[in-house]
Amino acid sequence: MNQTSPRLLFIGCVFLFVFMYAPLLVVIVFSLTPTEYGVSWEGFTLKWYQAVFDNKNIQAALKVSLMVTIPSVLIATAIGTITAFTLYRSKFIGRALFQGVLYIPLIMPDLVIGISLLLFYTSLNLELGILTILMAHVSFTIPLTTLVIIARMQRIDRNLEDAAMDLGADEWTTMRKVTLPLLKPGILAAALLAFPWSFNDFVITFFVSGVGSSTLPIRVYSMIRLGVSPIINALGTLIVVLPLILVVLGLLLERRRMG
Amino acid sequence: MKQVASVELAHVVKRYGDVIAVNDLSLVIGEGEFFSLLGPSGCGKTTTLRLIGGLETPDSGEVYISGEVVNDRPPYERSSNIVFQNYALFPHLTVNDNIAFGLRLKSRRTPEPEVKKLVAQALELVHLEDFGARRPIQLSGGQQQRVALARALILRPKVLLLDEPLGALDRKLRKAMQKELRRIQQEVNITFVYVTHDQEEAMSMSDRVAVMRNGDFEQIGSPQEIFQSPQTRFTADFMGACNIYSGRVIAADAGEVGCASAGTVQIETETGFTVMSRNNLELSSGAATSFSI
Ligand SMILES: Nc1ncnc2c1ncn2[C@@H]1O[C@H](COP(=O)(O)OP(=O)(O)OP(=O)(O)O)[C@@H](O)[C@H]1O
Ligand SMILES: [Mg+2]
Repeated sequence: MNQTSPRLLFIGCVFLFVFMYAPLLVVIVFSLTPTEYGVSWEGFTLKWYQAVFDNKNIQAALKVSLMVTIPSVLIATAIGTITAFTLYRSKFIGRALFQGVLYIPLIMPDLVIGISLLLFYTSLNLELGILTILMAHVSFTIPLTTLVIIARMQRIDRNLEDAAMDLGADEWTTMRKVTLPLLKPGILAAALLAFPWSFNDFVITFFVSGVGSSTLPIRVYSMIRLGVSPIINALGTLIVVLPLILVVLGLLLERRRMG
Repeated sequence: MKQVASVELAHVVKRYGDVIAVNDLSLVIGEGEFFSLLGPSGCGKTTTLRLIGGLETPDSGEVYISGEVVNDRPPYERSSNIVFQNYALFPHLTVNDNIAFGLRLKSRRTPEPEVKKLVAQALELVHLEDFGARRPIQLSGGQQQRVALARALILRPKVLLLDEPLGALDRKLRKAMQKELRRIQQEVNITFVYVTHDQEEAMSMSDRVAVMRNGDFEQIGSPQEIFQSPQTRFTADFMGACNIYSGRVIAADAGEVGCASAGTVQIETETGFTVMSRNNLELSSGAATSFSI
């Protein structure tokens, strides 16, 4: 019994990983073979990657995506930090309510958020395009960044801020020299999570994007509608693998910097 | 010439929700005095220090430092510093930078060579010369405690509030640090408000000792007074008089009126012994009392 339990657990783990990553592996494998239809391996090629890089539509969509994601991550992280500070530090009436309301979008269906944002923007007579996509991304990313930063903030020892003030630092200096540095890992984590959160969004973006302003996921979707091409496999692989490489590189650099 | 009190509390009350942490506390501490707070856990010692340091504002009553009401003054505008009970070292800074934190603030504008010199001195003082480059997490509890001490001492405040500053040190190091602290305190004439659990420490270092209970003072006096003639059973108990007897006064001599030296009193205990004592408390015949030996 004691012998079999760990083994069962191990087999369960293997199943879990296969279940999660096998589909991804299929995509990667078929991005590297010239087979256009069906599922057989016909030798190695990079031509689908070449096709991705040559595709003007994909380039345009990637540009839109980055133009949306980078500013929205920065804005949402900044606002998330300020919101977290406000919620955690001050004791205004209805604080708990406000904090609760903030998290509702995290469990609300994207469909509902998308439709309501669409109605909201059109009722403001805003023209659908990059601006509306950006606004939408900021608004659905803020709850995430705030949540992550508050979680980190709750773990900061209040005594440290007291100590800084006792040693002569005013509120502003205390925030700059003690609270923010201690919060930095949380802020960084929030931004790292917010990036794919915004970059990968399909449903909400679908509602608030206008003609000619497709982000990458939307472009992929419309390409699939015209028939699945191995280009999609190559593109999918790139989207998964490139950020991974970036993160690993970043970690390595960080480790070297720390000595 | 009337000396201005260094620290004064006047009927200070501090509540946390339903808990009354400090209850109508009044206290005058003279300049350069070494004043110790003794009392069981949860009696309000830390809260008292935080009230003086400005990290808590009293619900009622006044806090004075050097004769001025400081109730509304934030901690960074008070000439006091705290050595925190749990050290409160900044984990993202090295030991050097922790100790230099106060000096480097804009409000003090210490030139960097001066900072370096003072930090080196402070490290030497607490016997941590080789630890300046480490982070707090790489130090033992006792070492962290000494960094906290150095960080506050380096600013040479008028009032230093120490919350069990030597609690984590072994006996030998503690003795050495006690000596150093006493020396610095007398040399720079800093007022010390010193919380400790160690009665021996309180007795050997303090000018005066206050015994606290449930947010109020039970007795304030010189170490000798507190130890030799505890006014209440609680104080006697707390000061470690393990043999407390209750009895009834069978004969009392109040002593000469207006004379400092008290008369004598004769007490019969519940178990039937008879004891003679000085009549400090002006007991009269027939009163119920308790005493310790
Ligand atoms: N932030 C707080 N919120 C609620 N209650 C508190 C708070 N700080 C202290 N108290 C309560 O106030 C009382 C006094 O606390 P304080 O920390 O001053 O005790 P202490 O004498 O320093 O004890 P110890 O010797 O254990 O350090 C305690 O009953 C404590 O539970
Ligand atoms: Mg305490």
